[in-house]
Amino acid sequence: MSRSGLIISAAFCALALLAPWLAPYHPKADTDVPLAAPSARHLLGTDDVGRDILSQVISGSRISILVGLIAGLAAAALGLLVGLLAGYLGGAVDRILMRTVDVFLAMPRLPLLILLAAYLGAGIWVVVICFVLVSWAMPARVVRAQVRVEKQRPYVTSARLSGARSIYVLRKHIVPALSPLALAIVIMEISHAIMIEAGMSFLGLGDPTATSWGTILHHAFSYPALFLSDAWIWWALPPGVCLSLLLLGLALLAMEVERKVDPRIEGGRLGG
Amino acid sequence: MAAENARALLDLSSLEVTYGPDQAPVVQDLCLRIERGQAVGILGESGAGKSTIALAILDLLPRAARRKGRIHFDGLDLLGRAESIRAIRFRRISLVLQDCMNAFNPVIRIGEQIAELWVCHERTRWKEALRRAGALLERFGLSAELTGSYPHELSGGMRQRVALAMAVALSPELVIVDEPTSALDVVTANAVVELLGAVRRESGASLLVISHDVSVLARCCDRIAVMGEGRILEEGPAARVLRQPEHAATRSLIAAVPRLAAFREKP
Repeated sequence: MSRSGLIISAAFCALALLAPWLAPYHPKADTDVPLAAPSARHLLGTDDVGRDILSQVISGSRISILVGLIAGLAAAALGLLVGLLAGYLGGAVDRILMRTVDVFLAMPRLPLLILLAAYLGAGIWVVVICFVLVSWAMPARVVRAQVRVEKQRPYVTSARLSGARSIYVLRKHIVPALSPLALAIVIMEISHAIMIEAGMSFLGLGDPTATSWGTILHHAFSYPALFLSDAWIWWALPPGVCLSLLLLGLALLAMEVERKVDPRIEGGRLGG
Repeated sequence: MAAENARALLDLSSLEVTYGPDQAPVVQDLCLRIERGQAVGILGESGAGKSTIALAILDLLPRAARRKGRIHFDGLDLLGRAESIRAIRFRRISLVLQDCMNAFNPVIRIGEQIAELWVCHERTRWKEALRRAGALLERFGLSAELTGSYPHELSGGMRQRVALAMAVALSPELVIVDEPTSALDVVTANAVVELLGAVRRESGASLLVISHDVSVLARCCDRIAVMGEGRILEEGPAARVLRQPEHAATRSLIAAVPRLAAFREKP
């Protein structure tokens, strides 16, 4: 039970890596009659242009996870860097960076995303850039607070008085002390990025030529008669279930990581 | 004094420190000389500005703080050339902080924290530096095996010893010790005071000991300066200051020591 997050996340990563070998058909190949019900040839049936849905869901994991990883890591890295600089340097740098963070935190996320994507055009890199723009501010603030705590530690003063440069203090004392927090932030950002990518693709703001869970949902919901038959069960449900499962796995993984690195949370019981 | 016109190791004159633009000075019009090999004590009650002097010398004050006056160390103007302070810290002037027993990184082994000094300052190899760390601990009456321990595995007194050992690791000319005994029991405090004497004998370094405890300074200093409200109230040879205090503040600090008999004029 304690490893379920790791197992779910690893399983989806394996699915994404092995997609070309696991998928029975090419995700864009016109394989059969449109809207075929599940059968031995098409375990999840086909969509309105006759593409195999199972193959689409398997291949779709690649874009979802790849964009999630790139965008999540980039947003977390930018947030960590800004938080580290603002927290450690303080003074004018801190004020300028934190006011910028405030501006980005105050902006409504989804309308901004839609606006940005509409201006920049659809595409995977647009999704990445949009996500980084709306998601770097929160981790920056969290990290800054933690850096300010670490900076006050007596051993940091000691290191400085024994002649250590700032960069040495950061590398030796502050960054290692931040690593559990950083790991949790990275996982959280990746899971947000996967959700945002799916959301943008669902709204038709992702790359229309790429197959991701979001674009499968987009196509399914664009089909006017989706709910007039049982087709939604094998067309719209599987990508949604995959998405939910992966996000659940990442959330569990973040909790497991937290439990591993924070000695105060022992056996699910929060101690003082 | 004979060395009056010779260059002092540390020469503070008209030093003034404020912690912010509109704040009253914490230290003002402070003059203090430390000759080579001398041990000078600064005595004063809490809040007198004693620790501020130590931080001011090494440029470790908060950013908003301002220093005025003159800080000369071996002819170098420490106020004028702030960028060179890193070359001075620990190599030429070391400081043992007031709460030094808590000043270790809890997740790095003691040996690594000591060895780091030589690795970073003298480009010693890690293996050699760790060996020297063990030897240094033995010189300070600790087991060389402590290099493999984490700070929480040591008692407060042991950590204090390690901190003192680290202060002389790079053979500085001046060792500043801020309240070396304030968090220790009497027996351990005694051992630390003896250790201070050993530090001086062994390394030949000058000492600047900051304390509110007369008995500590009485046992390890040649000269004592008494501070109050940011100023030096009186200064002189330790025996004279303790036996014939001129200032009321000195008298009350001496009276605060339970074992008064030790400083009373012998009949």
